Amino acid sequence: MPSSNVIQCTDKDGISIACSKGTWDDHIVDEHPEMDGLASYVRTTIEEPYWIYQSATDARRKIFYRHFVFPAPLKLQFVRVVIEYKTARFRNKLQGYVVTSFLCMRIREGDILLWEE
Amino acid sequence: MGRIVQTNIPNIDLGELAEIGRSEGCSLAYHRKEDTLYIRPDKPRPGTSLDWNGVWIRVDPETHEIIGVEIENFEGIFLKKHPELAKTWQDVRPFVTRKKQSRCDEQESFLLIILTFLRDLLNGPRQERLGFAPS
Repeated sequence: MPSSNVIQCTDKDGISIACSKGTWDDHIVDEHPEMDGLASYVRTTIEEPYWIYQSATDARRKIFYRHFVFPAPLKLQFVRVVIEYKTARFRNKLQGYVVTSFLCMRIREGDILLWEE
Repeated sequence: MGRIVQTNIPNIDLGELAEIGRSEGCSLAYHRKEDTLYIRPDKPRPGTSLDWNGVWIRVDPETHEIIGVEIENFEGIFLKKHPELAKTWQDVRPFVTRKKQSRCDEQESFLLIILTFLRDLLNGPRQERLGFAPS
């Protein structure tokens, strides 16, 4: 795994998914401090989601959800992971990149359900 | 197998929205690559998020106090749906980056404008279903 990736895994379709350190530190944790230390939960959500949605606003993006029970005061929360799929330029292979991830109280309305566990 | 589709949604007082803009410890950040606008406390606070049509309200998980707002597709969709904010945004945009910085007058004004706008926008017949307390 490149040292610049905090997460490197595959989704249930076998597509490689990565979250760079820059995205994790400067975007995800910076704006959502509750995500500090929760990279493994994001990884599990990608590998073993409960729901996968198609973004209603971006054809390249899918949204993964899975709920977990965290220590109080968070308790039961959904982990939401937005992944953008792109064809890697030189390898002509589809890859996914984590755009954002945070905790939420429910699945957002308006996106299109693709798959449910 | 049935799955939980939402947690216990607390009642959230939208009247607090305009107040967080008046707080000294709150600022704007815009992540251009993700096209997401953040209104967040200067001192990072863990929170959880509740959605309303592309707008995420960030709340303290313990007190349910509103601590911030996150608007995805801010320029791509939100400002197009609400063009009345676009001109003001263009004036303040050069002063808003993703880096933490001290608030300037332009930021302060835009913060109040957008939070008051959101409070009024969310104060509609859907609010009770979405877990927002009627004001």
